[in-house]
Amino acid sequence: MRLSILRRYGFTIAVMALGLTGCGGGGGGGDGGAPIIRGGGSSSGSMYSAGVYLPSSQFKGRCSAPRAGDLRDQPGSILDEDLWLRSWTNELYLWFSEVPDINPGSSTPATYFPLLKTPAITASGAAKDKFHFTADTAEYESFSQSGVQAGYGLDVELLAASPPRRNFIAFTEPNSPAATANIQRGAKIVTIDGADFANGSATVLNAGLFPAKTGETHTFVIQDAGASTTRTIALTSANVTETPVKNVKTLPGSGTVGYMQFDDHIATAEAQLIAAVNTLKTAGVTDLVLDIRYNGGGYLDIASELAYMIAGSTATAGRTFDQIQFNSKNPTINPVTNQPITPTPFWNRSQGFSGPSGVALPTLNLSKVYVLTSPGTCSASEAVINGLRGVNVQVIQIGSTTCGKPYGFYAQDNCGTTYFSIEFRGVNNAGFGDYTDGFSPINTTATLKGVLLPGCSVADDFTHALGDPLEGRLAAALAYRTGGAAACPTPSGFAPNHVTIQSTQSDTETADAVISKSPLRENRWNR
Amino acid sequence: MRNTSCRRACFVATLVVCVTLSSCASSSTPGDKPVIIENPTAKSRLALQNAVCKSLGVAYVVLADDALTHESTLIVEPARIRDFEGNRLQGRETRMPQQFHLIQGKKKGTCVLIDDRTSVHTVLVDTTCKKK
Repeated sequence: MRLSILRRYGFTIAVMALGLTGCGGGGGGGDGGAPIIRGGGSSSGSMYSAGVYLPSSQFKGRCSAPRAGDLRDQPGSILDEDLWLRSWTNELYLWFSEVPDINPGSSTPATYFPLLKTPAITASGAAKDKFHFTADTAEYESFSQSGVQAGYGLDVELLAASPPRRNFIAFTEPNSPAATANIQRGAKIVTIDGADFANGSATVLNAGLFPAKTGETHTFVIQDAGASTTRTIALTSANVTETPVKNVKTLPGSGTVGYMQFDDHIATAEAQLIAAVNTLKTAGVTDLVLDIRYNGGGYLDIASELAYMIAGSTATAGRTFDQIQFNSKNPTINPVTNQPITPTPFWNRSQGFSGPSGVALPTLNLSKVYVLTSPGTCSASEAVINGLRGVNVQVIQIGSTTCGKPYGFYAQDNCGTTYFSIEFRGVNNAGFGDYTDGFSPINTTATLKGVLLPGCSVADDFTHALGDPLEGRLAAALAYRTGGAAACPTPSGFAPNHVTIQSTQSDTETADAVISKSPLRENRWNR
Repeated sequence: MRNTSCRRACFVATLVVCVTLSSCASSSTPGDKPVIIENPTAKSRLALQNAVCKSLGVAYVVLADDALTHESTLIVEPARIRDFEGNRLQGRETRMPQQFHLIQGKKKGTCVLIDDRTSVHTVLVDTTCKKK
């Protein structure tokens, strides 16, 4: 069982204003005794009618099982929930016109929602919409101290999530239980609590990787990189503080090449990025290797700040870092905030995520940047690449194809489930945002490839530490710097964390699959 | 998993706190002295957690054991939920972080947590603070 996560009660003030003193009562839902209406009828009196989309507001919060005490819910039916999904999709989904009009019939929201997306495929043959999810609302609405996650401070990359499974440790967080146990990049987990990682029980493995609470101890058998034997360690889960910017350095021997590992666009990253750029600026770097292979995104404003700090004021002044675009029904007004759609500029001052706002940002004034990538390079991280390309900064990509997510959501709760359905895409200063298949180094040999960038296809190298000039991707970047494309090694861009399962549910465990990061709340369980 | 009894308790707690906190909302002033928590205990951690929960209107938040022991600013942000490939669902996060500041209370050694968003001041019980 997972630690109980509780929901926000943003309606508390309203309840007080109404003079209600009880808890769990009042409002729409009642207290667990609400009638559950099932079957083909809708409590709002509406039925499915092909081609007719009533306003989603008509069905919003009409729930077959209202949450006790939650004023957002009132008694409704499964059909109400399905019709809300259908109308909401028609109003806000980016590709609403490509969604087939399907009679919900006896579908539940869990079976109906996956149908409410475009069936189109991209030029490479991949699904056009790879990002259609649900999550438990209570989980989605929870909070944590920035960068703090319960777990072991262990980042596991899966080469295969289904039997026979394969894994490597990508990195550990400083001062974490994993670091204390001297687990380093390149180690492999052999067993957890006696379950063989390759073929053992996924339930046992996932329970060990994602302990239900802090202070929980699990037994790991680890094979360190290069070792022929294994060792047994007990890891006890704790609240671990993530350091999103690591390994900031000038590379030995190069003199002027800076390197930084940037893992997450969380609030604390802002101050750490500023400090990193100040360090590199003081060192006089003229080239930068930005390692974002494990960075899945986060705050776009932080991505903008980083892009500005790399490119400097001359290249970015008055230009757009990212412009979001909604569907054709919403060309000028953000339909969720009801505010005019305005571009995100290249922020030249701090935005106050983890320090004072309005402070002038340092700059490196580079016209070229090397980025180390993988399928874990996603969303706001890809926006850094795309934003820089939009102002003619040359981006040289070393690694493997990025995830391909120029999209965003305003996730929406209905009846206890939060739905993620793509609502907008971002484009750069040149109006480009069509990288659904990701960005790929130009010599990528894989069938599935995205927008081709100069660079080298290089596999993740777990035999060297991140930031080690001998690490395969970093070594290739350094070689490219002096020798150009001719210096690329034989293409080997391999997708280290590409798992073999596809899911439209974030809160469902798939049989036999071990998951790379907690699908529920990575802020709680970081392993 | 839904936990009705817990939600009820939290709901009541939130109501009570809102009444309490509404009377102590005020803006921070330049004269406020930033402090950090000294020698945190289980009780002081619980007091901090309760204060943050109540300010945010949530019933649980993950905090580091050494929260506010090195810095007088606390940043909390929404959960990062991931897909099965390990990527964040919200790769372009639209929900902003919240900041809190810790200042000295009326008596030396006491601590007051300020929610920057609402300016609500909460005295941290069972907690000793020192100058940063």
